[in-house]
Parts: sequence; structure tokens; C-alpha cells
Amino acid sequence: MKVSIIVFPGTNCEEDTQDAFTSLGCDVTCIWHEETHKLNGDLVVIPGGFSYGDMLRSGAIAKLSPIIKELKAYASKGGMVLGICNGFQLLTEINLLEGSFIRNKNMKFISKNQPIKVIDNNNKLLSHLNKDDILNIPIAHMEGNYYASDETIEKMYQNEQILLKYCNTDGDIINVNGSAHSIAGICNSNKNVFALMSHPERAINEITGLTDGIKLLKGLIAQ
Amino acid sequence: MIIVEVLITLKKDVVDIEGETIKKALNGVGYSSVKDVKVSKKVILYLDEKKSSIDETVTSICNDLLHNSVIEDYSYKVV
Repeated sequence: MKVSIIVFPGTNCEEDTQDAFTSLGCDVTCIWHEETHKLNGDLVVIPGGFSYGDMLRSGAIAKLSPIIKELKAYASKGGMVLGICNGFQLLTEINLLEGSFIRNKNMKFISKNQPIKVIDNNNKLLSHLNKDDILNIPIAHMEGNYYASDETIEKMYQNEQILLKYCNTDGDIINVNGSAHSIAGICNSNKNVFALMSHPERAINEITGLTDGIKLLKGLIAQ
Repeated sequence: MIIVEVLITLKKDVVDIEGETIKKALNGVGYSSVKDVKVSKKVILYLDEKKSSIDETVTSICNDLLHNSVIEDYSYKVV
């Protein structure tokens, strides 16, 4: 399986993401954001970090990069896309996903291991997991407070686009950053563009403590 | 050179986290008359073009980059 990782100035999770997908047997290539060649392959990942220092808004400047035109073309043809953290923020900026992000409700940068719960598994990313399964995966963000209008969120529920929510270790939904409906991960209505604020690439090895990230990512590479 | 000030504000339905934090801080040190605080961004554009096309250019710039229509509104004035 061929995986492309787009790298912007300030991206800092591309090597961890590369390690994660390589460990799953994928052929992984990092692509600089100024590239203009067509994206192909089986999956395009936009990793975490701080594109352009998150100036103006997270992902705002990055959306003007040349590669974005190719990313939109790839996604519109059904190509599979995964956004992680800053990648999630960017995907909302370029309207491949609904909603947007504002500062965490407590104005703090949150960096910790955070359980998330599977809300909907009728999609490629989570079909190998059960509804209500709990995954313990790190989060690390300042602007993870997801916002969308009530009307938009209602439509997303109807289209099975609300995929993951923050929870405690017992599975009770909790709100860690102010996100509407405690949303941690969503997909588009065509179910080929996925994103989450959690960092699965930081939970792939027992040596570093957690392995639920690799458990999650396996869904994308299952044939 | 034409100077345009663009003001970007959060939509009414979006919680202004920074504003709330500033309000709490001010109330905490005794400024009890502060009932609400709103934080906005001001972007100043220095444009070398004809005045007749300013509206079109600034609107385009705001929609392409400066504001996110999901969470923000914008207004501008030539100064």
C-alpha cells in the first residue's frame, strides 16, 4: 500500500507518521508542500505539527500551498485522506471537512494520553473496531476545540460522520477541550476523508507505552 | 498607497475563549464593571492599486485567507 505524507514548514510529526505506516508494511513517501505533481497511491496523510507557525489560524496559510490543489483533486476522486491534529485543522480550512477550530476552553496547551470512544464504525477507518470501543491515544494541541453549527453537526450525525469522541477510561463521554459534542474525530460525507485530533502515530510501540494508535491505523490499510 | 484595516471577529455563536479569560482576569483584580470582553484581529493591508478595485480585492483576500467563514466575520475600512 502506497502512503504519501504531506510536509509543510513547521510540520513535526511526519517521521513518526512514516514509522507508523512503515511498521504496517506500507511504502511511505514524504512530499514537500510545494510539489505540484498529481497525488496518487492509496492514502495521503497530513500529519501534525504547526504549519507556518499556525499564524492567522491553524492551517490558514498552508491552505494556499501548491499541493492543496492536488489534494482536493485526489480527494474529489475518492482518494483516501487522513488528517492528524494540524492535518485535521487544515482539512477544515480547505473545506474537505466541516467545521473549524478555536482555542481550547481552558486556554491551555493540552498534552496527555486521552481515551477516545468509537461512535460510528460504518467507515473504512473504524470498521475493524466496535462501537463504544475505547482507544488510549495521546493528544497535544492548543486549538482542538472543534466548532460547527448545530445544523451542521445534526447533518453529520445523520451521515454517520461523527466518528470519535473524548471519554474517560470507563467510556463516559467527557469534554477535554471544549469541542462541540466532545468530538475528537470525523469524516466527510463520502467517507474517504478522515481526521482526528489524537496522535495515533505516537501510540505504536509498547516501549513508549501505548499501542492503540497502530490498532486504529490498521483500519486504513485493511484490504 | 491605500491603507485598509480589516477587522476579524468571532461569530456571535462562537465562544470567545480569550475574551472570557481576559474578563475573568480583570474581574479578579477588581475591575468589576467589566461584564464582557471580545477579542478580535486587525490586519492592515497596504495596497498599491486603484481605489475603484479596492472592494473587490479586499473581499477576495478576506475570503481566500484572512477569515474563516465558519467561525469568523469580517469588516474593513479604508483609512
